[in-house]
Parts: sequence; C-alpha cells; structure tokens
Amino acid sequence: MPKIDLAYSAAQHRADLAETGDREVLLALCAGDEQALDELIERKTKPLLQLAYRILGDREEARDVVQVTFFKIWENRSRFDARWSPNTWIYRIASNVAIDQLRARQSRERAAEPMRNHLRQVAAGRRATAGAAHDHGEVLAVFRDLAGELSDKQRVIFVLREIEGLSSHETAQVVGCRESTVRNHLFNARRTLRRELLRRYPEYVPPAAAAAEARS
Amino acid sequence: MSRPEERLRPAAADPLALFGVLAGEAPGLGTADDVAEVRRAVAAMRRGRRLAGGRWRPRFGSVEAWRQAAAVGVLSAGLLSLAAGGWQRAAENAAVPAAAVAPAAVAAAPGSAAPGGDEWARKPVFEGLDRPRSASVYELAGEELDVVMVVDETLDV
Repeated sequence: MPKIDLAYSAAQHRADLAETGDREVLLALCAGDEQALDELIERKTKPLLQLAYRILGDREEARDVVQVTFFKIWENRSRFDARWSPNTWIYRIASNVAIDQLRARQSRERAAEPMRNHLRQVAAGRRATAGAAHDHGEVLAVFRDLAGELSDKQRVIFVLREIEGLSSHETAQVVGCRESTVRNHLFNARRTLRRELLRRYPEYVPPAAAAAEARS
Repeated sequence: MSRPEERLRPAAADPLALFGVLAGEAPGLGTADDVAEVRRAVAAMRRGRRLAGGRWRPRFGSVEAWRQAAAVGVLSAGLLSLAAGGWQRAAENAAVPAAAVAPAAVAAAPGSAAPGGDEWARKPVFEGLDRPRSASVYELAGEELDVVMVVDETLDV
C-alpha cells in the first residue's frame, strides 16, 4: 500500500512540524520543504498581518504585504542565515515589503482632510461620553494620518519599537541599520508625531498631556 | 540606562501614549480565512513564478497578483494544449461549420470568402496584425470553440 504509506508520512511530517520550533520550521523550509512553508504561514500570518496593519493602517494592503512576504521568504530561502533569529529575518522581509508598499502608495494617496474631519467628529462625540477609550481602528487612522509626516524608515522604526515592543538591537537588525540610527529615527519620529498630534488632533490628547505640553 | 531622548515621559503626560492602544490586536485580522487566503495567494505566486521561468514578479494588490498568475496560467494551459496536438486538431476540424466561427471575426477577415464558404472551414485565418515583435498569436482549436490568444509581453498584465 505505497499510497497509504505516503499519505501517512505526509500527515506525520505535518504533525511533526507543528511540534517543532520556528527555527526548525524555517530550516526545513530552507531545505525546500513545502509543508514547512505551510506551517510557517499557519504560525506567522497573524503576527505579520498585525505588524503590516500597524505600519500601513489598511487591512487589504496588510494582506497583500503578508502574501508577498511569504512568497519572498520562499524565494529567498537559500539566503537565510541560521545565526539569525527567525523572527528577525521574517520581520525584516515584511518590513521591507511594507516600505515598498508605502512608496507605491504615496503616488495614489488620497487627500486626508475628509478623514481628519471625520475623526475629529468621532473624538468630539466620544468626549461627551466621559472616560470612553479610543477604538483601535480610530487610533490607527489617526496614526496613519500623522505618520504621513514621517519618513518610511521612521515610521517602521516607531512601530517596531513603540508598538511591537522590539528592543533597539532587534529593531536595528530588522531594519538593517545601526542602533544609534534607530535611536535617532525614533527620537525624530516621536517629536514629529507629538507635534502633529497636538496640532491636528488636540481632541485625542489626554488633558494631563495637553497641560504638560503647554507648560513645556 | 537609556539615553535621554529614549526615555518615555509618564504615560499620562505623553500625548503619544494614545498609540499604546495599537499594541493590542486589531480585531478580525489573522483568522483561519486569512491564513487560507495567504496560502492560496502564495501558491498562485509560486506557480506564476515557475511558469514564467523567473521573470514574473508579484506586485501589490491581490487582484493584480491573481490576474498575473491567471494570465500566466492561461498561457501555459494554451501552450500545453498546443503541445498535446491542438494544432493538429485545428486541421482535423476542417469540417467545422462556419456558423461556429464568431461572426465578428468572419466579417473582419480581409478578402475571405463569405461566411459559410469552404475557405473558412479549411484552415484558420490569421489577420495581418500590425503587432510588435514581442507579441505571439496562438490558436486553440476546440470542439465547439476556437480560442485565439494574442500574447504581448510588453502589456505586462
């Protein structure tokens, strides 16, 4: 019964892969194992979608980025260096694809003013409901608008450091620059975002923060 | 010890604390449907890459990527059909009634016999297209339907 044996071994292999760590899965993928690619897609689609969505602020674009990321992982599998952390390598590819997407988007970016007005209304309405927290999508829309003032690298570094919680060292590896460069980009990104948030969306600034800014 | 510019102010005093919300998961992203869609798309891109011999590159936009993969797929299916004897079938189908040929194509053929004439049934007609060198014309002769494909790589679909 060779067919049954083959089916069994494929299922067993899939089960084995599901039990192993990311590094082993990535090494199997590098050896051309297509089931390892499947397993990696299973594991990393969600975190990569979240990352791409935070960078881009658009669900469909995030989905495109993740699809192309996995394709590039497969195509460039021979370039994976086992000394790298699997997540760093995967995030690096995803970040580069997201930056490409940001550049492609710039030429077709629609005017942001209607969105800005809408968000102001939403924030004003929320203010009436004291203590209500801001919605994830709403804050992301604000971030997307403000991040238009950042360079692509500043934007990615801000997301990786401040939202994804990566260290400066990890961020430097993902972005492919020195830690000092990461710190500089982060400093400039924060300054720009803070200034633009206060100027464009004062409704979203907590009263304590607005008062502190007024004093400084 | 972090550098001064790296130190976050206390959350309440930092306007950027607003973006702390983004550290949470965006709802509805990364579902089983998303995983399945990624699998399908990656498989399509890999197929497209194989068929195009390395020249094909995915581009952004799911629709775009799928369209590219589909275009490559159609082309490859056509070539496989040709290899399997599509051209021979075209000759064997000499008796296909002229009514089966699209009227518009019949009308467009210069100097050809009227629809229904033996001229049409005998062999496929290729118009003298003013086409660039990069274009290729393929005809797939089916039982009930002839398909003519003009493939121009400069169109980059």
